[in-house]
Amino acid sequence: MEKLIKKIVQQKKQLMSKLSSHPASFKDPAGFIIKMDETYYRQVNKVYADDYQLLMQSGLYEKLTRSKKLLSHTEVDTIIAEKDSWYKTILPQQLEFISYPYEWCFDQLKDAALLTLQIQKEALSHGMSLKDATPFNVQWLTGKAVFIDTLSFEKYTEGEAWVAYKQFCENFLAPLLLMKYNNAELNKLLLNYPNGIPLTIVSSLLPYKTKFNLGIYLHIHLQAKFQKKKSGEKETYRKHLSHTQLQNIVDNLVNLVKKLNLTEEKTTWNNYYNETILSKEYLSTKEKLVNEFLAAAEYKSVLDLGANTGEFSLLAAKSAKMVVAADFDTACVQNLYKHTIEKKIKNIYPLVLNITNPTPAIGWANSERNSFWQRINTDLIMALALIHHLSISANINFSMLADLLKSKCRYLIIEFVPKTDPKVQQLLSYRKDVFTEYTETNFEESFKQHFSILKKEQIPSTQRIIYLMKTNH
Amino acid sequence: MNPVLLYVDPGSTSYLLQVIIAAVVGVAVYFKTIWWKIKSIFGKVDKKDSSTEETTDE
Repeated sequence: MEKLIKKIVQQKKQLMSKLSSHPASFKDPAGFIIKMDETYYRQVNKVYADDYQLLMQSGLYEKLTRSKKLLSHTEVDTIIAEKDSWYKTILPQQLEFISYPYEWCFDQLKDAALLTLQIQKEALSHGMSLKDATPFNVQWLTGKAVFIDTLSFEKYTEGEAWVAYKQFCENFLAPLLLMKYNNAELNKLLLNYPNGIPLTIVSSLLPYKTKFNLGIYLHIHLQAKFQKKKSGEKETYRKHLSHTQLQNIVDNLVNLVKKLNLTEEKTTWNNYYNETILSKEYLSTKEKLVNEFLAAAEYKSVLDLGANTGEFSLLAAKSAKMVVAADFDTACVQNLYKHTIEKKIKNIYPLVLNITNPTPAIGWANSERNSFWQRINTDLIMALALIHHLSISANINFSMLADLLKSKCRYLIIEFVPKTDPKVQQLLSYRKDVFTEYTETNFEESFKQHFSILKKEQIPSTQRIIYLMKTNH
Repeated sequence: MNPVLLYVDPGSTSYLLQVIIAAVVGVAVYFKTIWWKIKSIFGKVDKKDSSTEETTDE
């Protein structure tokens, strides 16, 4: 037995030498992320030893993890990826799903911003400061935003400015303001500017009236002006910035962000269930069927594609460990997120995602931030009232969809909406009907290539059909 | 992005700016405090109004 353990340890050590850091961890010399056997670890480097000790001993770690603002971790001694720089290896609480700020709704980004500011405030009162303020350091755990980068804290020296101030403005404040004053989808600019939206751009996009808001003027417009003017000039000005002054800046940002609210917008989608004739009866019978189908499948994780305001994600969440509820309409995602916060639902991940153009991989070598499909691993996919949008609006045919979904799940609950359905007729009224292959038979044939149909039911008083399928492999 | 900006240390422009913002915000906080005091004399203080106290939730 002992020999076996020794052998395993030996093997692990050999493996260690082959381990390298996660492609997104190159920016911070304080440490990096290691993935081993589907578990994520974080190596703390020697250069960060003092700051790490301060974090752990000042009471800051204790305070932040108790209030679930910071991801907790345990120290492990055996796993060493890079010996020369090694100080400690920590095993953080594992996350179920990683999402990025360009996939969040307004309130998600706002909560992430407030969390970052609250952490900075707490850090300042413990003699530390955040050296990073990026939404990529915030993830979702048990329904709430949590700060995941343990190595973002550094010792605060009286007189110093907040080093991550500009980063906060470019990565949180800027997209939030653009979402509020211009369009709720503009956080997608972060996809193109993952290190922050340049303030000169933000300042030129924001409406003129924002210049009369003191906070927005100072943190965005004035800063943008400063950057234009100051570029190239050597900065020699160093005035003492007191602890209180620094806290005042953070407080000011908190107040500004707290007051930002999205004016509720009615889109076609976020009132879908309330306003359409489909409502109530259709919904309750469909819910009953989906419940039956869910009961017949085996799953821990669910992906709800075209989740709308999450009606069916909520059903799945009762039995699943986690549900990713994806919809391209940011107002729907906002509705669902608000609902999960209000009802304290812990296992739903609302996500803004366009299935016809899912989030790509970005950053250095396209491997810093993974694509949507690289990040998700689900047992069951729900695609309810989606097929007609994919086929008729986006020209995705049945076999293309079946081909994609076969490798993404084991079970599939999918709804077929026939051509005679009023919603399909509505879609067809805007374009020429070239969809001769859009039939129930073709639908089944295409999916039978990769799936077995376990259940098939027509939704009463409609011609829509729901299927429960299982992959053949 | 303005190419000149690429040569500027990300933190450098923000120091002077933070000094200025701290000064402006400091004045604002000063007057707010006076305002609360006046309000409290007339017994009209609403605790939720106090912007500096409300940041640490839970």
